Amino acid sequence: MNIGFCMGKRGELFFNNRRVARDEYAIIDFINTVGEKKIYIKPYSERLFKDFGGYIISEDPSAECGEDDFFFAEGEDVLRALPLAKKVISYDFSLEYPFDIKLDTPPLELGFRRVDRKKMTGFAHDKIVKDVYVKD
Amino acid sequence: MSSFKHLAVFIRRILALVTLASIILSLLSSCSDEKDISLEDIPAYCGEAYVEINRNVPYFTSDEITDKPFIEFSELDELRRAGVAFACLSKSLMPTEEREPIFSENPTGFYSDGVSNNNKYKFIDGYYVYNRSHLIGFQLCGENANIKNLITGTRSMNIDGMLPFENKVADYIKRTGYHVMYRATPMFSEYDLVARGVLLEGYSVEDGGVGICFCVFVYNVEVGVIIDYYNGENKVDTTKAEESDFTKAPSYVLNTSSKKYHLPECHYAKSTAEEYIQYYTYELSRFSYYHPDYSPCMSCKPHEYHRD
Repeated sequence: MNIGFCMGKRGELFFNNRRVARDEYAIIDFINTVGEKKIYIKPYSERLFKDFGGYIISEDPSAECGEDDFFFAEGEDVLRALPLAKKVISYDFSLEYPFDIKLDTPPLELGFRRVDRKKMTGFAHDKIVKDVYVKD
Repeated sequence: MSSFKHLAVFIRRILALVTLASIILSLLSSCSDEKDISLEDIPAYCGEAYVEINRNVPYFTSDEITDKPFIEFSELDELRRAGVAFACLSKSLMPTEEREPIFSENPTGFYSDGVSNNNKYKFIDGYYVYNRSHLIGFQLCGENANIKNLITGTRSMNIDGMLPFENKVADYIKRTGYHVMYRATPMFSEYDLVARGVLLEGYSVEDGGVGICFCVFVYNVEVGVIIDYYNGENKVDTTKAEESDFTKAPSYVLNTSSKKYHLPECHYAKSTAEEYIQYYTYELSRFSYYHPDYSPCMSCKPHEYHRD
């Protein structure tokens, strides 16, 4: 399984049962990066993808995801899925947000190696940093 | 058959959204008359920049919620303190120009008897303990040097407490074009000139709070500093010295001449003239926020070692 997720500058994921931020640019880039591979999402994430299609809604993406498929995770799912992933695509919105769920341990400290980094300008964010990590 | 299934899923999701919005609305209406919150109701500061109040449900009444943009600031009170700042925020209120300096305005507590209380501490990033803190952030309403929108706030309150919420609301408005009810209520104890904190409420109008819904108290504190809220004077808290950031070894060494930053053990850092050295001991992930003009040393590559 591979995963993708978005976060704030300090790893913020959720606050008060809501994602801390979103940007369609990151979603489009994620879809383009994934290419032909399948994207699994939970129902909560459908609003992010519904304009673009090509996703599979699942209550348990970690279980259904094939080895090369992607799970676009949010909130606590990021914390649960990250250690199981072999490839990670993260989007850092480069701003601080309120949070009650946060990624405390970045991929680099979970045995991942960063293989790519790109800075981009989003629709609602001046700077989004995209990182791609792999686990050898 | 498949289209029926899709229709059923679609209807189920619409119903779920409507239910969520109605739950939020009912919570709003059930809690809205209870806004009689005082400092005694606020939990003591325990290290977090803000604390949830009223289960994160704002106190806006249904009469207050509107999609007509406005900003209202309270008149200064007899002590010249700012009061409640209330707005229906929209894209149309957001600034289109860069922010000007606001040194001309001094909220209560910033000075006492003509002497600035804005002391410098080595362990505070940016050094100064106080900011002229906007109640409604400039990025949200374009109101800058308006004394009715300013209080004396600690660096931590401004950056760790208020700014994340402003970022969240600004993102949301930019992305959706929707309206957000927003209220910042500075809370003072009796005749204090410096607020103990700010009650901050936000609620997105068109989607019934699905996008934005919060009610928090942001503490006006700075770790390692004792603040006399009565007049704004402050001094280092020596009892907290052991735990305070200023006892930590620096994470980065900044060369103010070359605008490079280094790991402390880097030989370039060690050979930098003392007059050009600054230390950075704060949260590492925020380094580029505070020092956007600095680039990493290509010898010690500090940016590859740290991420907190």
